[in-house]
Amino acid sequence: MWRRRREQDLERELRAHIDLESEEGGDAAARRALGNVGLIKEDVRRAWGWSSLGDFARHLRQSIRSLARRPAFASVAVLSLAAGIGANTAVFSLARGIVFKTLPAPGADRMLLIRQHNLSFHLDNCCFGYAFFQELRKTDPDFDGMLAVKPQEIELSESGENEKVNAEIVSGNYFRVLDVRPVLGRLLDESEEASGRVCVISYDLWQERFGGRSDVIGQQVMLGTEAFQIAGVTQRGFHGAALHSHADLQMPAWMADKLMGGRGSGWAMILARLKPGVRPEQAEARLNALGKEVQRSTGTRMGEKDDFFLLDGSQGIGSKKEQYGKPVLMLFLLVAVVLLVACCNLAALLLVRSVERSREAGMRLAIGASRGALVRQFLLESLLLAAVGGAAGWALARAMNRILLSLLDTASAGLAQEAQLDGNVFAFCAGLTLMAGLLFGALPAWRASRVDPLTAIRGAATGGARSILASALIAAQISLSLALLFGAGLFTQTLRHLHAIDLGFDPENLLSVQVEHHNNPQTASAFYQELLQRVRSMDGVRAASLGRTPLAPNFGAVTVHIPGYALPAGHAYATANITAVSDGYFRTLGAPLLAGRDFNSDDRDDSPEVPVIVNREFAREFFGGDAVGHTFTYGAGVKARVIGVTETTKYRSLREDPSPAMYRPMAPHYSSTLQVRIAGDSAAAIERVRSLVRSIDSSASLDTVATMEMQIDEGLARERMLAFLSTLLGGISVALAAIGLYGVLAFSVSRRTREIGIRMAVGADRAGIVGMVLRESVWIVAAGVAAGIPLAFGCGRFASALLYGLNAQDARTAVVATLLLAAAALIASLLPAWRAARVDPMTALRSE
Amino acid sequence: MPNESKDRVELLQGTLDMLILRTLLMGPAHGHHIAKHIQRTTDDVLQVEHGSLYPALHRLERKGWLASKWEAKDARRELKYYQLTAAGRKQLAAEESKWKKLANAIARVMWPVPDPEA
Repeated sequence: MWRRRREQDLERELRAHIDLESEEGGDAAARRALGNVGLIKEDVRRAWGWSSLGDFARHLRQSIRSLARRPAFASVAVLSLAAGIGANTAVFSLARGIVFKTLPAPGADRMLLIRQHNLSFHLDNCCFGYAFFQELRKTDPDFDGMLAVKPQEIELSESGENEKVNAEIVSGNYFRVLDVRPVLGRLLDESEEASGRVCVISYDLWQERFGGRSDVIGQQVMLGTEAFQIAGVTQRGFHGAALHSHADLQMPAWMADKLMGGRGSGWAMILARLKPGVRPEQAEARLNALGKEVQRSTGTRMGEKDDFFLLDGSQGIGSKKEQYGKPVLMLFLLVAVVLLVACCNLAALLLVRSVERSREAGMRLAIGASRGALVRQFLLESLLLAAVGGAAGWALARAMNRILLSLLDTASAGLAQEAQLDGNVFAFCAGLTLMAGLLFGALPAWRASRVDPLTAIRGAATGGARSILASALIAAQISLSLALLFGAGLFTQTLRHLHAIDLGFDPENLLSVQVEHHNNPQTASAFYQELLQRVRSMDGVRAASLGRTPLAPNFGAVTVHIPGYALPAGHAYATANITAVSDGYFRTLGAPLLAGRDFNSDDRDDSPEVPVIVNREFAREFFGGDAVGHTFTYGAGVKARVIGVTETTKYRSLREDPSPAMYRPMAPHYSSTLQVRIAGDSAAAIERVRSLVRSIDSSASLDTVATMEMQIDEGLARERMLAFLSTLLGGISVALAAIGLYGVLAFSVSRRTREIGIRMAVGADRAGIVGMVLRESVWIVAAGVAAGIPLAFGCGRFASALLYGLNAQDARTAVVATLLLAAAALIASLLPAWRAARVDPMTALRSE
Repeated sequence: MPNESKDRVELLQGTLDMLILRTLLMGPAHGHHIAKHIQRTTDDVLQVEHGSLYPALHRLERKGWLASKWEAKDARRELKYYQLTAAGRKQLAAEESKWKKLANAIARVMWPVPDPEA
């Protein structure tokens, strides 16, 4: 508006001038006097300070036209940038959510989790007795806030509707330490720890389940079998003491004893905030003295070497950082390398083009363009490409983010809530785009500005130095691609090795079905017996049993007392994994019995001498091999006699070392897992088991139904993600390197057409010409490989913690990666070489 | 050579700016009048290129040394009149003294006064 007005004023002013002139000396004289009106206007506009804007629009149009003339280059550029920037953005959002974010609580970066080594059980104690927590909280001076919490799934019933919710059992000071405010009602405090029948719900649960009504305060609900009143609603965005999970309800500490049958066992995870200025090592040292003292006074027996230690608690009690932090940072490195490869590629292609365009650049310099303007024009083109690529990348990042999350986490939404594409991620994406544009645009732009106008216009510019620079960029790309391919090889083989691990049982065609029975133990026993019998008689079922499925998340261990067994140093007692199984368990799993016999229906858990089957590791460790017939005691003095020895199966995780395990006969229980060995189609079998369970007892529920292979796959999620993505990224970067190599060679051939013509005219044969082009390619590839191998080994070292079954400098992988790369390079070189060989000497010479 | 030509433009520009400011010291005037006045006063020695006059006027206005308004010259047309602002007067004084120094310096080189002791 304002601008148009000013333009009109200028028009009027100049017209008036012409009028005045023409009154004196006629029209022609007037125009002559004023000269080129358009030029004057342009100069006036510059005086207004607008020219830069106008120039910019003009230059932008020029850039778009220039790129549109090279659709192949532009689309390679935009696609590779979109893939690179999109992948970086998606991985950044993930890395931020998994590694960099902290709990939204004051002083979250000083939060620590208190843990304790437990040598006897080969594990770390996560959880402590509540009396211990209360005493420690009072006495330890190094912390200015210490809370206890336990995640607990519980059934919430209200006006006839039941729903399982993720809840937390919390200490009275929980909300104060985390600085959470209610949006409605009030939160829990210390006075309710022992018996208060009030709970607090999350904003989300309030909205979804209670419609955001304000009369929800004071409403009665059932939590499991207990009656509660809702006291308040927590602030929006608060979802419990774990960054990567979602708790919708908090209930007071006494519920822990209620739910765990008053066993008084350790349930409390302790999250504590260090006082500012106290170093974690100091706190840890004091805790070790103080904590053991408190444990003695509260009656917990621990070994002398069972030291306390502090873990990073900045993400609260539930963090995926430990599990996924490394793989995600690894992934971050991989995608950064791919973007770097894409930038090298574009820089090389632009460089080659800048030589082609040196005539244009020289011409523009000669007619008065400043070198600055020339650099600006070249940079503008690069930034334009980057901007389009970045915009496409942002769109891609959304899809990639979803794919990444689904690769990592099959079930929980906990990670997704922290790894969204928000403003910060957008800022990262925009910054990355700008950086990429400058990265691949700067060198060619600088090159362009150093053109000598005279030689350029004469067309005599020699390509020597320039193609060396472009070749160096291609070599850099090849070395980076080699590192990526090598990494992909390592991760793929790691996954293969993990899949090939001898589990000690046969995972194929094995179903695992967790069945919950909600009535009392007496009916449960009958229920499970009937279930087992009817499943066994189903079509397509070879065998079935009840017990704990190997690699399932739940496991228990127990102390064992073996006559004549000497404890290893530092251990307070010997322990073994323990679980109860039905007859036919080992046959169903496909884990062979090595000695003795299987359970039968006469074997009972409550007989004076409980018959047990132990694994090979148990027999080796405690009895020196032959265990059948031996007796020992476990737990609180229960007598046991070994009736059989079975193969050692992987118990908790794939990567574990063999550990002793014992199996006792099945006792009635509320919940158990059914193992079914089937003959064929697993989906159909799952459906039939489901309807069978429902027909026996409609109130029973199936919690998890999975084939064993699915379960193993789930445990390998991060390895699979790395293997899949590193292969994909390696492929992309090799493709880009090949495109770059092709571009540089094709350019070189086109510039040397005349030379090739002369060579042919004086008798060089076609094979010689092909060899000449291939030699150029071999040099580039050789340089890239020479630089790439150390780079690859360096990256390998960084990844070594993620590998299994091979080392980070695996020579075979390096050789295979090099061969693959060389093959891609050969393919990329053949077309230019073939073209060179087809040069017709006469045409080539005549064209100059 | 780019550097040389840039200096030359600046020198001319500065001079033209000063001449415009001096012309307007006598009262508001429109572009055509300013050009004619400079030409007449110097007996056509200085031809004001119109191509530089209007950019200069707009530049001076943007710097706040000139103000402008549209006024009717006669019944037929309106013209854009430029007027010196207070800042413009100061600028004129500054440029004048700079120019005097420069002219004196050049004069001493070109027409040296013979040293009596030589």
